[in-house]
Amino acid sequence: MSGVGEALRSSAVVNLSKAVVMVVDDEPFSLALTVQSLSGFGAQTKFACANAAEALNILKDEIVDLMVIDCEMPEVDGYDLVKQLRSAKNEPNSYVPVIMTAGHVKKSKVHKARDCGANFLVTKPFSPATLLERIVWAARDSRPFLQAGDYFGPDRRFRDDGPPSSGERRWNGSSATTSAEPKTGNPS
Amino acid sequence: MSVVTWVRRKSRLATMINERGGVSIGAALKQAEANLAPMRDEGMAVINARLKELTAIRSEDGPTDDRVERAYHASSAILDAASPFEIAHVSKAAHNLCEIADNHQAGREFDWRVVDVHVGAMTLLMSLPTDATAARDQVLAGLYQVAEKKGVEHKA
Repeated sequence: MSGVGEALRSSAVVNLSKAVVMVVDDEPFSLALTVQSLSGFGAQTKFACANAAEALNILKDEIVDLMVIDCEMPEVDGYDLVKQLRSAKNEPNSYVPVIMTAGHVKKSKVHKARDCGANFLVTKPFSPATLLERIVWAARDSRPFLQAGDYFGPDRRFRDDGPPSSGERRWNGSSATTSAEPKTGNPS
Repeated sequence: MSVVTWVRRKSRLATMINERGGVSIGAALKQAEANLAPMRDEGMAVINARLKELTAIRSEDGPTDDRVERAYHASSAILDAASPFEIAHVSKAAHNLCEIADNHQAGREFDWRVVDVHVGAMTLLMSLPTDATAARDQVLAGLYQVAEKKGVEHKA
């Protein structure tokens, strides 16, 4: 099986049959493309949502295992949806692997894309191969979740050096300093 | 001082994906392609509808910024619909128009001729024979030049 950043081997086997999948996309055709691709992978989309409000409402009561979210949506966009999901502290949904899809990322939203807390962003042209690869990467994603200031989501650094053991470091380019706490939760 | 907290946890997906059963990557991709193939005609219909919408937005009166934003979304929808069906040149043309619209500065005038050019180009790209790669590349190169003239840094 491939790890994060590695290409998929054709003979590798994945089992997504039990995964509870939610897809959120305001474009019906784009949503259908994602659902049909997932179906080909053996994953049934239990929740197909046309907007963020619908998704957030379902997430209050239902546990999901994978989310595929379109970035550009009216009112609450995909970035804000992920941010709300992460900050809701609604376990286990707040830790669910999230893959975002985007045809084009606006210059003004590059920082939102980086800071929203998604695991991966898939830019189009869309291909089933890319989507499946990111799903496998998301499942293999061993990065710890990080709570730092306003950010809650997977560590944005892919090289796992672990948290700094002591001392202070600069945070977010500002002059503020941070101190790192020991890891919490269960090591995987 | 900000405090950084680290939480390590394994997702349910990480466990499920390794369970017995499932499907090979090769078979999964083959099935996904088979599922998408019948959607091609619907995809073409979405693209044509969005091309008409772009033409309508271009001809409308109304606040420029709002119209540019709508043109951006129409173009983004074309990019979404075109991308899985091996009509990469249409995707790239739509992406180029998204770049130009995204580069628009609020309160400034917008050169709507770029919309005309892109609608014409995408219509042409869809009508060219599948083996007309050189002609497609030429059309796309022209669109990239338009984008550069509008201040877009093109990343080919």
